[in-house]
Amino acid sequence: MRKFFAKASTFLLGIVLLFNISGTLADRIAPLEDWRIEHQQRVESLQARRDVIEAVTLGNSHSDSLDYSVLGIEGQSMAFAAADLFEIEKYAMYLAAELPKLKTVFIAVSYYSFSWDNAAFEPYRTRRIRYYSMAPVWSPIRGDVSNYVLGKLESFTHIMSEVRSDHWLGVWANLERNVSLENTSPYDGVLTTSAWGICPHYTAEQLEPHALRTATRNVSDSLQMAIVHSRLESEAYSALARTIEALQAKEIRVILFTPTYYEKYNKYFIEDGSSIIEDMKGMLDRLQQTYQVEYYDFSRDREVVIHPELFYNSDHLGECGKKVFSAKLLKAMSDNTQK
Amino acid sequence: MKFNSIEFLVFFPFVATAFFLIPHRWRWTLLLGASYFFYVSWNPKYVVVLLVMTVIGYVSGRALEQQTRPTTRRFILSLSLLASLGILFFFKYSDLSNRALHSVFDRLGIGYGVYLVLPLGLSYFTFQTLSYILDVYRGTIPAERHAGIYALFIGFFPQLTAGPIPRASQLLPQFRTVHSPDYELVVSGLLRMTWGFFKKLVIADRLAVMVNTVYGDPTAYTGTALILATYAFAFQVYCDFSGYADIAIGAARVMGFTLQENFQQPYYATSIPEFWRRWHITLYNWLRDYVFYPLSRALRRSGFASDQLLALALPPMLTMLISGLWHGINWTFIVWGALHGTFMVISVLWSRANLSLRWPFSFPPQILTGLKIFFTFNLVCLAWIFFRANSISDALYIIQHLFVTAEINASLYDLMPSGWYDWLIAMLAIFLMEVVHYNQRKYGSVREVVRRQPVWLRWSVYYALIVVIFMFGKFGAGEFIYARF
Repeated sequence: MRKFFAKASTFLLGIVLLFNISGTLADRIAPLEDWRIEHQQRVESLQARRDVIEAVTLGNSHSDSLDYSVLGIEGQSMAFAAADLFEIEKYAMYLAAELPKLKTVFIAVSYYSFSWDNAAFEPYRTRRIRYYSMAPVWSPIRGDVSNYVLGKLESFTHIMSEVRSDHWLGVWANLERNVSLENTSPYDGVLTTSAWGICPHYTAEQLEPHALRTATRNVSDSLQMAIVHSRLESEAYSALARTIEALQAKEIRVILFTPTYYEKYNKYFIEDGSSIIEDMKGMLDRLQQTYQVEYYDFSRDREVVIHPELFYNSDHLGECGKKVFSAKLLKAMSDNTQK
Repeated sequence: MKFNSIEFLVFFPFVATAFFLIPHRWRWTLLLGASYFFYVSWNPKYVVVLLVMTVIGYVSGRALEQQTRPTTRRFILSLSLLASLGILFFFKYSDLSNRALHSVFDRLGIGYGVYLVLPLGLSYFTFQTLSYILDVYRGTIPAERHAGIYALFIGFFPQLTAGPIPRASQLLPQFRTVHSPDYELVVSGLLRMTWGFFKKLVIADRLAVMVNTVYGDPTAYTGTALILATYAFAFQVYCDFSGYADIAIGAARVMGFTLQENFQQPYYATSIPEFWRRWHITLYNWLRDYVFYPLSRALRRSGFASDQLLALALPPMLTMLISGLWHGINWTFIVWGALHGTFMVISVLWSRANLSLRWPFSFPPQILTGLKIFFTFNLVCLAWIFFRANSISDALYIIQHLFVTAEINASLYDLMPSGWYDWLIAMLAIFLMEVVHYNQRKYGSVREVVRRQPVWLRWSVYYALIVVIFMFGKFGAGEFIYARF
């Protein structure tokens, strides 16, 4: 028995070593998930600037609509792809304790935020495991012990870097070309000069199918998640409520916002998921009444939704769009303060 | 819980370690608890079906043993078979059952929002229960007195959802045997499991993408695409199902249990009857023992001579039809079973008539065997078309258009997500599998060949296999095909 355990431990150690080496190399040669690399950079930047940061943005990729240079605050986005309200809660608690000068937390609320739980099913579950492996959180989300354990295991085994969605094709291709690319899937939009400056964006022809695809997927995934996770909406609401409560208790201003989406994304989302939006509005009304939290909804801002130049893709603002949106948010915030 | 899930990678080592750490008298409790946890993690509601089936088998077995009057025993047997098969058919006809239940509740004015689905592994544990009851009735095995051990026999997690279908005489005594940790068994079991994962994740789930695309809308394809998709399905279904069996057998072996083999390189069969002795062996043996032989005997008792056409044709045809029905109440499965039945009947009649093809020249035996294997494989593939197609009309379309165009065009690459790269991985993986098959035929056991190598080489092989699975496996792809039945 002892002999077996000694051999098994040595064998497992070898596997971990092998995965660490090959996974790290693969990530360097052909990084797959841009958001992971971006998030690592954000964590590094946060640690370097922890004594000066006054504001952070939390939420899924929609949160990245804020441009702190326009807002004029020392801020840092800690958003990451597909983050749900349960993950945001954990992250917010950590950041509130970690950043001594934190005064404001921006949290993006997407249409489906209250009906989203990454733990519900794949491929989002993998994201949840990734979240645990990357985020400096030291306790699991309620009822999510197995993903937490796997995530923390991942942080030193790198198994998930071994399991690549491209099945290593990108690695072989880059090795053959003898290049180390930072981005294997370059942006397929266009670059135009407009009234807002030089804007990388999708054309109207690209935005339409993207909107249909993304809105349909988001609605369908939300509905499925609600089936898998009973009482999802009320639990997600409670998670956000707890986050607001805890931050307000530390005298940190919480600002909820919904960024602008391209008009076709709104159209397709409403077609299939109007009830999801209604529920989300209802929850936000309750939060505003209970916690007097600020909420700014720019989702259907008429001055923005119709301009393809402002959109990176149908549900994400581009560089120019972020500037426009941030200026509008800043104005709305100051108007609200004056009231 | 699926074998190909992250949960199982945590669950199994925990159960296997705990199994050896606790005293023998408590091991059945651990395994029973683990097996029910394994089942509950799929859908807690349907554990009731497993429990009911277990109660039916246990109570019937005990009652059959206690009763001596033939009429009472026959009554108990009929009742228990009716109950077990009733549950099976109720769920297999779940569409019909759902409609019936909803109409009854609607008439009663009661809101009823439940939609039944087929409980995982129902066909397997029903057949297991049936064979146990029939064996007790025939007196070939004594009834199990220990309710917990009997429940474990039905619910033993490695074979619960997709077999192999064990016999009571083979598996029940093993739960009473003291299993000590055996290094060789553990390594051999783990290696077998790894091989199963390789077949499932690297081959089956990769080919599944292409098969699903073509069979999802066959009218969009002709010729080469249809032929390739059909051959791909033949490998997919084999790697999927035998991969499951490898994991099940390996998992049981780690803990010292022996499950019956379910596959023996079926695509190397030289005839359809031989194919069925190599494919899904435990189901075939079940059907042979409880359908084929009794039916043949009944026909003989009814006055049919063993060489009469009906006595020759009816048992294999009926057996294969039941095999088709076992997979599902669907015309495609019935035609699949009927086709295999027809092949079997032709094969039996052919050998009875002592016919053999007369060629103007003689083939070397290897070539002849190769031709037979090729012919049999293609007959099996023809039947697979019905098995996989969504409807009879789809299957007929595929057959009619198999040879419409023969040229390989560039769009074939698009049938896989990563084009030629996926094809390359699939081909190399199948080649590796066939190399292993060849070595198994030549040396008996590849494990033995590997075991004789120096440790650095042995471990390199293990590491390589694991790395290949992680690098090229399709994770989170899907269920095992046969877990649906």
